[in-house]
Formats: sequence, structure tokens, C-alpha cells
Amino acid sequence: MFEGVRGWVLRILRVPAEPSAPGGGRVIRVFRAAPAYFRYRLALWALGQLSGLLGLLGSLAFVAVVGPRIPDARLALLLQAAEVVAWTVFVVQLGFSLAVLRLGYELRWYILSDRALRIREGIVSINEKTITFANIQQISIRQGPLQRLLGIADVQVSTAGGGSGGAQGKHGQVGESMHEAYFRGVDNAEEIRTAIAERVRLHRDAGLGDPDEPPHPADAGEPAVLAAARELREEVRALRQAMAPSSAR
Amino acid sequence: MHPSPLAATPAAEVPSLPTTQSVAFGQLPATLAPDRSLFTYYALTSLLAGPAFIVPMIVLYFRYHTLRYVVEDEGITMRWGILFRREISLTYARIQDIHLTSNFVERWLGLAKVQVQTASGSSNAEMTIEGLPQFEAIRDFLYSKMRGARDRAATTGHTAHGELAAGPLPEVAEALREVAAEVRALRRALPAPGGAEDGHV
Repeated sequence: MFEGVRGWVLRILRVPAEPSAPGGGRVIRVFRAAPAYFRYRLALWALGQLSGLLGLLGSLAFVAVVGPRIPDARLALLLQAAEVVAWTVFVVQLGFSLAVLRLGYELRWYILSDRALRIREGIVSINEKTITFANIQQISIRQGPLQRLLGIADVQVSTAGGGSGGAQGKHGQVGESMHEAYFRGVDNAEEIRTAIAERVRLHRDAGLGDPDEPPHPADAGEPAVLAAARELREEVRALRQAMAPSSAR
Repeated sequence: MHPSPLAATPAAEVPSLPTTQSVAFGQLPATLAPDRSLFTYYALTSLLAGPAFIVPMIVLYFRYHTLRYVVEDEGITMRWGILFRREISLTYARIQDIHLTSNFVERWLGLAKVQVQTASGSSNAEMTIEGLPQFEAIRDFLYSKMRGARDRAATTGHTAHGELAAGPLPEVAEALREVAAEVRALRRALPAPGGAEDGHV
């Protein structure tokens, strides 16, 4: 049954296939969310659904109490119809959101290529972020108490630039700035952090978008210039010494 | 030459660049106009405004008709607007991150947004390239032009620059040697230390 819902959701939402490495580069590692991440999201989902259910039960009690006292029969019928619609919507979205939750866990890739990282997440709204290692400013690991209990963490990668990202709230998590990317729900956060930091370290500039530096131009000519300058210094010194006896007298 | 792991695949990436470029825009600079499906998408989004949908509809209609992207060698420019004109330009080398986002309505219409960020403080994307069906090619093109996407030595522009910069240095060395030779000749032409009083007078 779940497979059927899954295929139906994938078709309806037109979810594209697995992302490729940035720029056709060499893939070094592909990280995936840990199974505990699904349990974590499931727990949050269940909490949300529970509050929805409580609200519906409250409204049911309201209809049961208030309904018989409504003098207008048509209004009472309307109230009951609304109640039925609300329950139907609740049950349908229960299955749909569970499928989206499961797919959101399954269809989630954190790709490290030799030069860049790419993160693809989302089902209804898909977000694919590409950041070159040259531009990464900061890597941090975040873990809440529930995540700690499940042994998972989020690795956050930031590039230069600010912005609270309030407008991005609709993309999954609230408050995600456009200059941040998250490896959500990974159980090997330290490993990811080390792998990224190693590659970031290869870039010595600030990562603020300066053009790549050309290879040091003086490499080839410098020794010759130095030798010539030394030769000139020796000559001038010899010249001074040649003249020195006269000026000393 | 460069033993860093970054130099792993320069040979594979350099020839791939012209193909992505030609597939996406032909010759540079290229001017691109959005696809018709963008207007469909705009119409659907303005319906979200409910009864007042006509207001965003008019705004988005003119945005759709005036929206142009100019892709150049060094950067990309987008402009739109009739009464209030707006133009955004950015340089490829200053790109910080590239996001490809799409909601399911856009995917049904075969669209996606390419959001390009530079290192600015704004919370929204500096440039949102929308309405182009070849979004993947554009994303890959921008990525290939972005800083750090290719090896420094493999970038043809930079090697040419390096040669130019290295050019004068041997000449400087040559000039220094010539000065040294002149000074040597001067020293040899000097009379012996005993007869140096001439210079003193």
C-alpha cells in the first residue's frame, strides 16, 4: 500500500531523479541522512498530527454540544458537513504528509565532489544548493536534545553574506538563510566536517569572490633577476673600493 | 604541476565548458527571454491573491513581457519593468552559492528558479533567474564560471595572464646585467688607485 502511495506522490509532485555531481566533477562521497533522522522527523510529525487531532476532537465536542441547540436545521447540517469535511481532509493529509515525510527522508542527497558540495532536499518544494569549497566561510555542527538522543546532528555550512532568511521559511526549516546549507540528520557529522574542512583549507584566500589568483608570475624570472641584482651590487661595491683610496686620502 | 587534489580533473572539465555554453545560449553575449510557461505560472500565483488577483496579475504581466537576461563573458545582467525599471548585474567570479529551487507547480510547467547569491547582506537571492526551461544548463554554466569550480592552472585566461606577467622579468634581469657590465667597464676604465687625484680636483 505504501509503495502505491509513494509512486502516486512522486508522479503528482513530478520529483526529478537523483542529482548529479556539480559540473560533472568527480564525486568523492555521497552522504545520506541517517535512519534515525526519519524517526526524528516522524516524532515531530506525530506531535503535530496529535495537536491537529486534539483540535478536531475539540471541534467534534463543540458540534455535539452546540449542534442540537441550533434552531436552524440547515445551519446545523452545514456544521455537521463541515465536520465531516474536516475529518476527511485530516485523514487524507495524514497519509499524504506521511508519504512526503518518508520521501523527504529517502530523497535527500549530500554530495561532495572534488571542488564543490551539492545538497538536494525537499519533495513538494525542491531545493538544490551548490557551493564551491573556495567560498565556504564556516562549518558548524548543531544538535538538539532529541537529536542527541537519536545520535544525529546537522552540519551547517555558511558562505559570506548575511540575511535572516525569513522569506525562506517555506523551504522546510524556518529561518534558513540563503547563505547556509545544511546536512540534516547525519550520524557522521564529524566526518563530514573534517572532509569539508580539509578541502576548504586548500584555499588560502578569504573566499569573498576574488578572481582566482594567477600562478605566481615571478616564479620563472625571479632567480635570474636576483642573480643579476647581486652581480650589479658586487660591481658597484668593487667600483667604490676602486675609488676608496683616493677619497680616503 | 599542482599536486593538490583540486587538480584532479582539469582535463575532463575544460572541454565540457564550450558544449554547455553552446547548448544553453549559443554565442556569448546572449539575450534570453522567459518562456511562455512563466506567464502561466505568474497567472497561477496571482490567483493566490484571491479577489484582488488583478493587481499582481498586471504587475507580473509587464514583468513577464519586459524580463530579459543578458549572459556575457564576465557576468550576467537581468532587467525588467516599464514604469519602475530595475536592472541587476553580477560577475560570475563573485557568486557565492547557486540554488536551484522549484515547487511542484513550476515542475508541472517545466520550470525552476536558479537563485544566485553574492556575499551581500540581503536575505533574498540577489538574482533569481526564472522562466527559462534550460535551467539546468544555466546552473551548470554559472557553476563552471564560479570561483573555485575549476583548477587555477586549467583556466586559460589565467595562464595567459601568468605568461604576460612573467614576460618582463627576464628583461629586467637582462637590463640589470647590462648595468653591471657598464659599471664593470667604468671601474676598469678608472686609472690606477694612485692617479685617482684627478677625480678629487
